[in-house]
Amino acid sequence: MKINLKDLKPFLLPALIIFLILVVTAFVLKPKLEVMVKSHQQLTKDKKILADLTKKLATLEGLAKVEFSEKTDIALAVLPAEKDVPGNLAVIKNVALNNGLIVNDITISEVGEIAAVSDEIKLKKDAILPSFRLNVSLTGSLEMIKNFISQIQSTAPLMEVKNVSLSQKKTESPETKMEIEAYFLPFPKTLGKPEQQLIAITSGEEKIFSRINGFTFLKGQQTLPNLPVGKENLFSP
Amino acid sequence: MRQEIDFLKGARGEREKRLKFLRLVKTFSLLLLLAYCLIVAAFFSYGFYLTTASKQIARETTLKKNKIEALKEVETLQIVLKQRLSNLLKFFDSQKTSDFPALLDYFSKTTQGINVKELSLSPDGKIKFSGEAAEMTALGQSLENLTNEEASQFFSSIVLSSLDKKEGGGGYLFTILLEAKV
Repeated sequence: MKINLKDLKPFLLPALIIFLILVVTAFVLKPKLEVMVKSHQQLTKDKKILADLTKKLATLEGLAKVEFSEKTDIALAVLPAEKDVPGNLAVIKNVALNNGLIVNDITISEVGEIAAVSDEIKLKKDAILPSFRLNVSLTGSLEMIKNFISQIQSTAPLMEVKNVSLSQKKTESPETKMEIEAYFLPFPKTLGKPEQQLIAITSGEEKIFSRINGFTFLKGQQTLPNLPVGKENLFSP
Repeated sequence: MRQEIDFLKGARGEREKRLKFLRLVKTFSLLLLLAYCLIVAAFFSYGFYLTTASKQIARETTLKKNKIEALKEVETLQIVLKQRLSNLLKFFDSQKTSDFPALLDYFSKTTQGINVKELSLSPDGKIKFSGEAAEMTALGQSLENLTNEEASQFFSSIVLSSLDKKEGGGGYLFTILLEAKV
């Protein structure tokens, strides 16, 4: 069968259009589409980052710097960033003297490194906060010891009385030996990247702040007291 | 009567049909081209929008980051405060130790006439209380105090571990093991 070229002439335009569509789709649109899909995904991510930044900025602008500074000072006084051995000794001495107790001996065990970042601190088993132990020997009445324990646990820096052993020989004033756990908390290793979201302070944490705000803060805690202490190896590992 | 006979009627009809089909193909292909052009235009417009929006967002992001950087000090204070308060919350929530001041207060009130020899308290609530009573009545009163209703608020178990009378008409030596409610 012989094909007459004249018969095909009317199909030239539609064929050209289809060819054009196919060529443009294959060599222009398809590569562009791949780029656009990636751009769309990136834009979605960027929009989310911008929304997070906007939220964070609004939160930060809403925070009162002076108020936060005061609150952080209180929190740092209660929970120092480093092992505050002089501060702890000063508080023990002051609280003991205020209650009429005689400090016979203070032994500090396992002080270890004075400063470290939070993730380098090895916590004791079942412990929430890093700590070191002070063994304290005091002389005074049961009433004085009661007041001492009560006050030491509500004075900054944070300390907790673990074991109490009171003994009395004949008519002498009773001698009390107690183990006091002194707590600290190093600063976090990384402080705020711009993209990192701020985690708001919860109502439970606000209550905790009210609690520590009621602590007693002794002036001049940072000076090492002149104590008649027994073994006081502050820097042994 | 004269009648016209169209000998090309069949051929003309077929040609008209063919012309109609060709017109349809031509129109359809032009419409297809138009639709394709619209799609391409929309496609490139969206591409332009993506580029513009991306630049705009990048500008705003830099601006916000700079503003956040300027508030770095407040952010640091907030992070440090949050870290401390959240750890203190966990710490106070996990505290399950005896209330030493309350226990010592109770012992100081209830051991009148007793010479306290040893009193040891541990955080798990175990208490060892050793003393000397000059008379049996003082010891009896002290034991009564430790077993009354008020004492039940503090202790879950009270055991008189030992009771000895000192030789030569002396007093009574005793040891009581208690378990405080934690």
